[in-house]
Amino acid sequence: MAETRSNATTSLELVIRANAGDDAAVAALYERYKPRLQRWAHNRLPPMARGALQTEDLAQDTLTHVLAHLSAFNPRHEGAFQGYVRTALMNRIRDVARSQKRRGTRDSLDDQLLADDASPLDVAIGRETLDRYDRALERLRPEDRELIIARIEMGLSYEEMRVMFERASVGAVHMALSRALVKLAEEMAHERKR
Amino acid sequence: MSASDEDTRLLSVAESISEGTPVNWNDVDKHDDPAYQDIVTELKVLEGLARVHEDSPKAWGPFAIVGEIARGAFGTVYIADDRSLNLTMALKVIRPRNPEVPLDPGKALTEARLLAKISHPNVVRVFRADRIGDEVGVAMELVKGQTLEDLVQKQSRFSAREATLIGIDLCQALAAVHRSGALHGDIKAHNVMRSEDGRIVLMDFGAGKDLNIAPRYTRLDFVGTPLYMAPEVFGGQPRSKNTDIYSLGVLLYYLVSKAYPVDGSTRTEVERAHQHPGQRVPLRDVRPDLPDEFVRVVDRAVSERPESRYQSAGEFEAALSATLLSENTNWWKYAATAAAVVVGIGLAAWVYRSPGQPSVTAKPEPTLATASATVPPVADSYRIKALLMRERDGVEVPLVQGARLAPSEHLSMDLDLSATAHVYVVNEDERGNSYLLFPLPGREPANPLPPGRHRLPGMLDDEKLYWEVTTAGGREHFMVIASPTRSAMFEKMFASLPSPALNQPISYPKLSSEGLGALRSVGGLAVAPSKSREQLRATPGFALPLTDKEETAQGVWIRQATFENPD
Repeated sequence: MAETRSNATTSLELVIRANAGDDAAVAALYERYKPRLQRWAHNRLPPMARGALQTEDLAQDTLTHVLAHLSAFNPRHEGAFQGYVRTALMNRIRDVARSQKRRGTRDSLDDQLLADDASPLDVAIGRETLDRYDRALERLRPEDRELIIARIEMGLSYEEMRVMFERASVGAVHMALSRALVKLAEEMAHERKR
Repeated sequence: MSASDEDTRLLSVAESISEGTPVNWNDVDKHDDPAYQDIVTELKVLEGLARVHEDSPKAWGPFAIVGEIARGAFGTVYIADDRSLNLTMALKVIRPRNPEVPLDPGKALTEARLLAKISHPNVVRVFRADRIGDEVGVAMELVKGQTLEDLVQKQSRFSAREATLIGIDLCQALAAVHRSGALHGDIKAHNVMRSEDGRIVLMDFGAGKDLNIAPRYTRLDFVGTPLYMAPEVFGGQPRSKNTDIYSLGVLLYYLVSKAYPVDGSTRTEVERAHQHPGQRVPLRDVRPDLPDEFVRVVDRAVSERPESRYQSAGEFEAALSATLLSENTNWWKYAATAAAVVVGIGLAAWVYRSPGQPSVTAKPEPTLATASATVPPVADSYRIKALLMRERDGVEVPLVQGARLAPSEHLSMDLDLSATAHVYVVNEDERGNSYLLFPLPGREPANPLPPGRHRLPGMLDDEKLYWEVTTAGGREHFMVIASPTRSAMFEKMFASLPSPALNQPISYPKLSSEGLGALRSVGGLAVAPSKSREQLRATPGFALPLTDKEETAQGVWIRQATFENPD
């Protein structure tokens, strides 16, 4: 994963400025999160939903909606904004998938779902495993969760993460992320035994 | 190993995962502590998950990655350029992602190389297979077209005849796969393509399962499509040639009905339905309008008991071919008649010399060699495009199937070949008169024709020669034959036919019944099966119409065109 660019301003600062009426901050948030969300959504969106609505459109629409209602967001931890827009997009994806499923077609079947419901992640590691991963993620501390998603699912560089999570150095991000991944693996192992 | 060492190793693995660098699992796998091992197992899952999110690589081995076609449980299929050959291919990179689904790179490599030995026009061509670390890359022919699933969804159900012809091609493909010692293991509408030139191609872009068939019952078996799976596979039996035949039967059932013989909304439901025979739906119940023979063949292929099914792809193919001769299939009556007419009747044309017309032709097109430079060739295959043309006001324009001809019309052929071929053009009218339009004795061009573009019948000095329609009545049938090698049989067969001479009327001999039989056996197939099957197999070949599309051929290629020539 290549290092890309540095963000001098944290998302938290941008959110505060945006809420104060700073249009430039809104635009900066939009530019920052649009590619991240698109990348994240690409692997989370079932093919039939992608057929109906492009990933780009879905991520863009969701982000626009979130930014238009930013006053509803109350940041509680570093990376909270990422979690906020990601949750909004996940809800939107589920809505689209449900509506498509009602009139969709079928291919392969899995235990729990029709394959047209299957996102690239479902196909790659299996729905059961993905569910275990998601449940384990939810059991992590919010900041650890967002660290993992930022790096693994959204492809942020360590430098971007350093700014986003307000760490002193890139090395600190490395260490925090590695610990979060091991913690996640532990939680997944617990989930498997449940 | 101390707890501190354990932590260090686990953190090191996590670091590699987040960096996207290879993890040396051998260093962390050997451990007696089950709790530690559980964490390692989950870290392997996380590594696979992280890889899904990675961008496409820029290169893999000798290939430059230029795009992505599909991602699956076992890897990714890319569009890739082979830089040394300057060819674009489909590159399937098989990579382990999920520790719950075992993948043996060595075995995958061996099986891919097995498939590389298959050379059949209905099987996607595998060019090479390489291993880099735990990944195996399989370079394949890039087939442009649509899957049968796409066609079913877009165009509705297939007719029995269409499904039969597709089934015959797929039986031949499957026979080639089985002869090589391999199994397909995942035949379904998504894995069969109709290429842009009309070729039916068996493939698997589902990312690798066919290349790593599990020898035992594992969850792997359910990554595919339970709706196409034979009941014994649910019961723990390994996949086999017979289960491939079952899947092909389900595919034909699906093509004509958009339904499945054993249905369900989940894998569990399908498995349960197999345990209750009453839930198996005979094809007759879904499509009561289909010919009896076709329904019987498909229902036998999807029999619950393996011993009741066809025992080989060849047996299945013969049964499908036999349906084409059923008296209940009216369409076949037409096809059989057309085939007989094509080789049995005569010609109403002579060579016409263009009286000093300027050399104006239809707009030039790129040659096959340049137009298709990015399509990898199938071994021993060649590309051909043949257009019958009519002359209108000094310009040669393509003739479309079914067009009306009239006496004194001037015809020619625009032929493009990617390889040297022996070409024959025969014309027949509805009175049974046959005529060899090409090659013309003593005139150039002559067989074999070199690669490139040709205008037939040729030139006389600086003037174009045409075939001229001299009589009216019924239909005119043209048969175009190409063969990469000289065929003594063709030469002998056509030697009895007159060729048109300049401005001379013609006689109307008939092609002998002996010649007809021989031509059928050549036109149908390369392999020589039993006599009855020869005839059966030959006939669909005659029904293939000449199109304006470039085609990829292997061996003898025969097409026909029919035009109205009313009194």
